[in-house]
Amino acid sequence: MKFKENPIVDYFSSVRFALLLLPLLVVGSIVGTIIPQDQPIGVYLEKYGQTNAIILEILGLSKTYSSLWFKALLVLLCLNLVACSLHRIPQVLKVIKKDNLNTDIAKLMRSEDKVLFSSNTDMKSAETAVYEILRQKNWLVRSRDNADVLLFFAEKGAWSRLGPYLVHISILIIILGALVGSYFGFKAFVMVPEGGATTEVYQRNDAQTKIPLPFTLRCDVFDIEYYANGMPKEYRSDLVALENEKEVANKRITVNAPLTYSGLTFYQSSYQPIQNQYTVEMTKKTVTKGNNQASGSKQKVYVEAREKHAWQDNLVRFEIVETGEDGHGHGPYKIWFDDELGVPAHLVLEDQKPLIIERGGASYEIMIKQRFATGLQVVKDPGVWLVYLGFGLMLLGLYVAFFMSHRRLWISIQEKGATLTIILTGSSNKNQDGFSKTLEDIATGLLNEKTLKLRRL
Amino acid sequence: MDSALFSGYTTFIYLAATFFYVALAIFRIERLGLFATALTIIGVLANGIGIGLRWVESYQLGIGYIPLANMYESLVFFAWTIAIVYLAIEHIHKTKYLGVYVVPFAFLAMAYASFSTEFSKDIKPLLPALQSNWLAAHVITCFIGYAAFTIACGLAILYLVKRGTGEVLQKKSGAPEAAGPSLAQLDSIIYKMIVFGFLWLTVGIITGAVWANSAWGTYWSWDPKETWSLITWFIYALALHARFTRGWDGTRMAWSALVGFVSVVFTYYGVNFILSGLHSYGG
Ligand code: HEM
Repeated sequence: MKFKENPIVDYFSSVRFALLLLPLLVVGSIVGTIIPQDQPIGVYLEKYGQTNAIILEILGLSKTYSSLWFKALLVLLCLNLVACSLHRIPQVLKVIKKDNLNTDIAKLMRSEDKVLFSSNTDMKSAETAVYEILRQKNWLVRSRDNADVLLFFAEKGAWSRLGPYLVHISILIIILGALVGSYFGFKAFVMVPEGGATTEVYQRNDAQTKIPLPFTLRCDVFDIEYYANGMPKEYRSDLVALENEKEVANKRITVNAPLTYSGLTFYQSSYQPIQNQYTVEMTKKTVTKGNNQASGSKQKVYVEAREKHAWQDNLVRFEIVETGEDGHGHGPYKIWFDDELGVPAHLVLEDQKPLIIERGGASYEIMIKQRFATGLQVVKDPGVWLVYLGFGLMLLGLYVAFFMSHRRLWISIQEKGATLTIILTGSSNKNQDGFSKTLEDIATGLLNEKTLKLRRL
Repeated sequence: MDSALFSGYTTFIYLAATFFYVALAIFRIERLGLFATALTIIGVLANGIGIGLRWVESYQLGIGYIPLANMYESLVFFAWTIAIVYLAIEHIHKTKYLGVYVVPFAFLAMAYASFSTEFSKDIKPLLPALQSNWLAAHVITCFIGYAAFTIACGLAILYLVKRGTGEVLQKKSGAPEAAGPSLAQLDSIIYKMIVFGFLWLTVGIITGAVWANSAWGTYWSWDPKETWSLITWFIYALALHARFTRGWDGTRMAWSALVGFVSVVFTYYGVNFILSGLHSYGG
């Protein structure tokens, strides 16, 4: 590269620059956790006074993490990472691909971690024995005959030198995924009443921009389960996606289990009781005399209180006369009930508890509960797979960078008259203590090989 | 038998272990070290039984969750991880002289969990968002990371103390090196703990992000807890890079471990009680 010598570019691609950027990001991030974020200007005026509030707004500290300077820091960090990697990866590849059989014997002799042996066998059997021992210990072995010296080179984990770069690349991929998500995706919200449907959702911004859905989303059932103390334990919605009136997807979603269809994901996010509306489910069983068989029909309606409703063929009529308080804000209910089989009756129902009414030839099962609207967070995030890919690569890269090392071994066999001199040496780019043990292990392996007839010097 | 009782025992046992480690450091009698280790092991067992019982109790109350869902439970788990990771180090490095600077942290976490009135110790039903296996994965991985950072901090204190007193001693009398690991060994253990912690903190942040995405469709929302965990991550990344490119080992690494730990404490405690976030840990 022609501007390699440029000191500014050098600084830009150096770790020294990273060591400046990271503290700046730390300080910036801290500021954003101390000053309340995304509040209306009034809050800042009241809390910090007029001058300070204006300064805050100018510096973007009320929206720190989306402010220009914070983004600039992130961009600089990415550029720094890219430059640093472009600068270094070629050097690392050179080390990985290096012809280690070219190494000078004199250099090997200077190494601190080395073991010397002598042997009385001939060159040929020494060669086979050494080769076999290294192979058995899973080393990738190569050898070269240089006149009177036979040099073996064996290595493990050469590629582990790329571990740190895997981590760095994963950071870039995660940030890329976040960008894709913020430019091509959206976060929106919609409330759908139980039994209702929607074809649009509302973006989570100040304008609440309408976004049309490419299909119809219907909520068939909404249910809440409570703990004994009245706290909601779980809430769930049975969602159905419809295209041209045909069902294309359905799922019972709960807080940690969303529905995904055609790139959109619907998260169970909240709920809201609909004022003065109730869900009524009724099953009518008619007992035909003689064969004792029951035939039933079930129906679900959404009704307002204090209004008369007719069921099916107008034979059954009912009205919720009174709605009580049961601690969750609804029930017990007083209802008025009438059909063609008897006299009108007043009954009391607990919330969500079915009540059976026997009316001679038929029995009815009635259940009443509050009607809710389910609150759905609607997310389109085409970048999330990149983010997850980045997560995976980061973990892999960290593992490689921290726990794997590039270990290299040299064994030279030199003929001096009737005896062979064998030098075993090596190095590791990490954890040299652990490597000394490996070297010792191989020395023992060589000593134990009877055909080699080794003596340690 | 209930879990609270075991928490009480555990606090007491870690305190006793701390005394033995201190005694070992002062009197240098091998047998004291054996008692100290034995007590720590018993403490770990009692701590684990306490967590197990609480788990059972939550089922008996009809709630049923892994007890890692609030400040109290996370402190108890934190103490447990510190003690377990410490025992592993003691075993690997065959030295008991580090205990003085580590086991007190396990004791402090338990004591704070047991005696603080800032948060409730009751088993309470979980909000729907917390009912996810990601909760356990997230809390466990984060706290393994925090435990490693805590140990790094304890050993960094030892390093700085040794460094301070060591120099003076050598100047005065040229006394032989005190028993226990050398400064170089300490530096290496501190570095390894930071690397170990960094790896687990990374997994912790990632599991947190995946969980948030599965519950709310947002893997990152810059809430103070998330942001502080990222700040902590940046600080340790900084220390690691400074170490292998600028040769920041020894004293500077020890100081980095202290600064990192302050950030860990703020992420864990400060965000809940000094800032206020979206997290449930406020108890
Ligand atoms: C927060 C962001 C970063 C993280 C999490 C990170 C992570 C890592 C990790 C885990 C290693 C391996 C450490 C080891 O082998 O012990 C590493 C090495 C390295 N990092 Fe980063 N890094 C980050 C940012 C940067 C940046 C911005 C630069 C910019 C120049 C950089 C330059 C380097 C270099 C030069 C190495 C040494 C590579 C080698 O040994 O061949 N890092 N990084």
